[in-house]
Amino acid sequence: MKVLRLFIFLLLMFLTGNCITPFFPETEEEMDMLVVSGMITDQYGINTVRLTRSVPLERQNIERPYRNCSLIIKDDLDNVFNLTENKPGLYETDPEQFKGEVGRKYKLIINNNRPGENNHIYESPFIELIQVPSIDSVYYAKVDEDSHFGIVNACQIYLDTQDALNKCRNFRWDFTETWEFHLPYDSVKHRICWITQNSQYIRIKSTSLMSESRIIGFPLYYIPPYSDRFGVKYSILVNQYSISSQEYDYWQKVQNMAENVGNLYDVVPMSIAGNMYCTDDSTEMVLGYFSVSSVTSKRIFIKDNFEGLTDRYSDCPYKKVYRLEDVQGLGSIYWIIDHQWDGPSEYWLLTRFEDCADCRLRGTDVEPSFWHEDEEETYND
Amino acid sequence: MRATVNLSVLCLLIWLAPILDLSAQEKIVVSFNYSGLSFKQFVSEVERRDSVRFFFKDEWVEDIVLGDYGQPVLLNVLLDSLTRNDSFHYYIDDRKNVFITGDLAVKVHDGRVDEEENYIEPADDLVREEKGEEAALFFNIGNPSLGKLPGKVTVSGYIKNNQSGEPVSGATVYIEKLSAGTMSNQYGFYSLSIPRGSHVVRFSFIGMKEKSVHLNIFSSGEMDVEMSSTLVPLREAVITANRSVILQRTEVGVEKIDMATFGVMPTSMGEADIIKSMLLVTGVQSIGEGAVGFNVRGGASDQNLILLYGAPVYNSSHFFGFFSSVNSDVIRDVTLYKGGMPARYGGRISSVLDIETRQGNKRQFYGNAGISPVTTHILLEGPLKKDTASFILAGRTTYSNWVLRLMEDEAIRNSMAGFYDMNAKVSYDPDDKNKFELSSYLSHDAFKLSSDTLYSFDNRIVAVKWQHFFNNRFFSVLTANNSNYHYDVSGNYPLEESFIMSHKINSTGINADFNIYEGRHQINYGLEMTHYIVNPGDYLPASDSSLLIPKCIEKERALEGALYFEDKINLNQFISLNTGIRLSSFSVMGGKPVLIYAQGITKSKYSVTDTLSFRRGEIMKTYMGPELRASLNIRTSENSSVKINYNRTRQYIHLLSNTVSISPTDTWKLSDYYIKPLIGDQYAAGYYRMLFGNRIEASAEIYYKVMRNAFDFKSGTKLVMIDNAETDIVDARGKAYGLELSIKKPVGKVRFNAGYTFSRTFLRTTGSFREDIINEGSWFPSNVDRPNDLVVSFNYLISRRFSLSANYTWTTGRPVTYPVATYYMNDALLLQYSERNKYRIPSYSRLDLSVKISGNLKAGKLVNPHWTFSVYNVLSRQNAYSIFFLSDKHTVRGYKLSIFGRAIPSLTLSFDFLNK
Repeated sequence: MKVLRLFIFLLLMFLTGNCITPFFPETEEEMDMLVVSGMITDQYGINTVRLTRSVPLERQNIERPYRNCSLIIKDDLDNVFNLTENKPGLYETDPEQFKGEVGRKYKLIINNNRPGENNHIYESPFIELIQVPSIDSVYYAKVDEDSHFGIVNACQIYLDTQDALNKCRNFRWDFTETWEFHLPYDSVKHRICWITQNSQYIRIKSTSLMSESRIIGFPLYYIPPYSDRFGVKYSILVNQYSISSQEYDYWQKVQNMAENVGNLYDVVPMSIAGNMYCTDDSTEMVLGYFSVSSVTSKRIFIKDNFEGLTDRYSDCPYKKVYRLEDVQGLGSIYWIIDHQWDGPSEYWLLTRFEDCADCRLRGTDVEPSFWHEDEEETYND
Repeated sequence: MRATVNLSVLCLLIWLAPILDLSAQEKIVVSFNYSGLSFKQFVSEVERRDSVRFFFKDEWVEDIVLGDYGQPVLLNVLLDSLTRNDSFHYYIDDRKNVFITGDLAVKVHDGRVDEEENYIEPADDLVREEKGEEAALFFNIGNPSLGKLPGKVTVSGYIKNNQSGEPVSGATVYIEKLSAGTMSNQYGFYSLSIPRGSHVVRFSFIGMKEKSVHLNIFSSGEMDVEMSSTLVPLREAVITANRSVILQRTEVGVEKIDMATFGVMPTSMGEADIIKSMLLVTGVQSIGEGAVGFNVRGGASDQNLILLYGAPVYNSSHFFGFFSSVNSDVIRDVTLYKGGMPARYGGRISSVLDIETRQGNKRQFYGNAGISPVTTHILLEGPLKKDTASFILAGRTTYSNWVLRLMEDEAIRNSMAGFYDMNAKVSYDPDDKNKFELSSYLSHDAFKLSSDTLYSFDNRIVAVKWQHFFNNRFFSVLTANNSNYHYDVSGNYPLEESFIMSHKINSTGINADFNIYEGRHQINYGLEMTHYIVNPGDYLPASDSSLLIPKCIEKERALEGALYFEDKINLNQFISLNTGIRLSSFSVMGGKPVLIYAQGITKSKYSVTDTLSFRRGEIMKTYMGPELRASLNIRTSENSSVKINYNRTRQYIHLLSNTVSISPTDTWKLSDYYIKPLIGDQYAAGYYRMLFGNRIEASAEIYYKVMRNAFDFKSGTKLVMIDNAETDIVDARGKAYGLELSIKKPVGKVRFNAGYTFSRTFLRTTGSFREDIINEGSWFPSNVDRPNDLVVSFNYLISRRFSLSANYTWTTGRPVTYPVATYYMNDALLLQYSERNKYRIPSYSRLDLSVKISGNLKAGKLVNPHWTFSVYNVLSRQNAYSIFFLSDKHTVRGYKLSIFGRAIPSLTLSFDFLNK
């Protein structure tokens, strides 16, 4: 359907010269709902539940952590594990004591026992932890795209996986990408940095209609041209989760809604209920999902030439100065990016953008611990 | 010297004319070389040479160029040659005044009519229509000696088109003196109960010359009438026809559009389009441009029964709704029953759109071809055996694939999108008692994105009809038809997942329909049976390397039956009553296992507790119920009437659609073990009035509707390959009410049609579980709730060759659910929505203009071109088609999509040919 929508879109454009203009409707409501975003896995240390409140549309870009609740996880043998709030709204299990076991069932219970609140209890059903197979491979292909400057390359990252036992039928993936970038100026203090980003996409796939649980060439992530990810070295860590079919349905609905491009063929948008229920008030809507899954990961590195990389720093130089003492606002309005000798005279190249002079504004200058894993492998051979 | 006379003066002169004697008129000889002169030049020359004076309207003669008819020649012989062009008539009086009378033919009688002398045997005599005799004909029925008997007598007969032999349905038969009238039915039959004596009976129909018959009736009898159509749609009867149609119908909310009206309506993208024209009717709306189907009085699009050749059309659109799937070339007229549905129709609760197609011309060959920005079309018709058998063949196709290939963008270049459709009909009337028709229709749509997924849609209909006349008051119509709709979606990337998905619905129906006209009664009864087979979905691997498990959802089968009886009674000349009952039943046949769900939670695949199986063909559930139909028409005065109406309808077949508009992959679903038939009740009332000498018709209608067993869908469900639809639906009830005001002037040089509708439509979920409740179980506006709707269309027929039309629409925006809050789940920004349909998109307004130019109408020309230039959305208003939201990692932005964001001009050319 997504393809169909896109097509209809193109066709309409072609036939009718349609147009898209920004439009922001006026809505007048204060929606304030509990949002649960939680996952426990078969690994130590990463079992967390995040509680937030929903944010009104006109007040975007803020976090509203929901603090001071009591959270427990219960398994089908009546074992109880407490979660502690280590950061505002972020509740974690004991990183050394708790991890999920394949085949066990778990449920989350939230007690809203904040002072002055209604002491509502929210529960998920019991969810079985299903074994996830390991990822067969993650690989990429350059995709040629036409542009005014000739062919430029986008990068499509694919994934293959299969469950020989055909037990795991519903997959979810997320990924974390990290790349190294350099400022093109030698005189800056912080020149080499790394950016790490989490995926913000919903990537799910079900093999329940297939005879084998085998997925080949799943298009995991498309990196459009003009990115600076491939300037030096790029790495992506993919996590694979085994989810229940209910959770698959949930994510599919979320995906259906998120891909809303405003067509008449779109599903009428509706709130999507997750798997958390308020046991005291059945009309209270709780957003989000508590997920139970095993996890496997795979990391790949990409060092390759891509056509059409952006030079984000081409607009950096502002002016040359020969006497640094005359510059007002050095370090607040202007920053030095280069220091050279023009024959006998010394000059400095200034910029007005701080991120041209300090890579830490976009990333971190701490090298990730895994950054040379790919090189080690070669040594090992 | 020539003069242009006022039309009314001209008419007056003509009515004075009967005292004169044609044979006594002076011979006027034309003895100069007139060949090649325009009519006006000719006139001035004749007036210069002789003491003749001509009276005419410029527009009647502007196209006429004289040929060579020999000389010297008598003026009347010469004018007779010109009158081969049907719309040109004249009259010469003894003072050498020549009146050119345009469309109005003049008959001059010899003295007063004496009853005895004009006695005609009551027989099946056709009223002979000779050239120029349409204005006044005399006809006697019965022996004058019976004239003193008390009581009423009935005159009945058939009205035919004299050029094509086709029946004229919907013609008004009217006796002004009595304010009595009726309409011909779809077979051209009429029946009128009147007192004995002399009457002037007028036969009129849009697009036809009006005909008056001086009838002396002394006992019941038959009178068949031939009417001549004005072949070129721009030509019109000059005398105002008596438009009392709306006063005669008993039902509330019935709208009939014939092709002549249709021809002058504005077009979008250069195509006359049946469904787009329906949107000009009050109470009919669509969700947006490019939405499939239409919505009648707050109903969903699948609640409209679209009948072609008596068979249902399951997909009514091409190209995602931009075109209707039925080619307008083959349409004779369409009738939309949005309120009072006759008992012979059933199966959909909102409306019936009955498309009456043309028969091939039984007397001469005719053709038409045309080209518009998107399609080309061609039509051929003619006799197979004169007056006995005829054919009509029409086809339409796009050349968009060719255009797409010219595009620069590779994605578009590798795409395809196109459609074609074909209609064919053979009619055979072996004798007066029997008529046979074999009709066929097929349509095909296919489109594909550059990538890989190919979509195709096909409609196929075959129908046979046998009409048998036991006598002139009793006839039967037997029809059998098969309608088949299927779509295929196929993809071949990645190879391991290459698939073909298909859905199909096939229905076979038979209908035996009987009509009796007996005095004050018009009785219609019959039997209808339809057998349905639905393939909900097949999902098959498309290649050997595909890993897909073939999945075929078990076919659904059901039998729908109905018995109906309806009686239309003229209680007296002021009150007529139409009562009917339709007993319909629906038997669901076994095959597919029925799942039993746990009590106490919503039905889902996770709550199945048991399975019931039925043998294939075994009846596992039968729904049955009576549907009452009743309407009452009270003539409150000579030119006004009041009508009230109630009807109930049951609907057993549903389109599963949870998108705003019908999407191309929506599937049909039969009522089954869980899904109950929709039941609609409608109460309506209307007041109708003819104004200004019956030139303008005005009406006001109100209605209230209740829909039971309606349903909506659980959030976010994908309705593809649905095994058990009951797990995805939520039960609901619907209600709708509205007021429709309309004022129309369908005749004359200046015509208009203005309609305003205030309407609301709501749904309310009736479930008890969280998943089954929308908006906490309170009423919410349905997707098609657009309270205010104003449609104004205007035509100016400047001359026979030029016409201008304009069309303006203003509608409240449709309801929409906006996101009102955001939240993060695993770093993805998600949206939380408001209550269902709490907000509205901005209102919609659009103005269209079009100009039609016909080639000159000189007689004997083989090819006659028509040009239509139209501009859609002249004001370039960026109407919101939809409002949508895109979110990236941190922000949500709203956008407005306008499909026709600017004015869209288009030029259409069509030719009539082989037209003698």
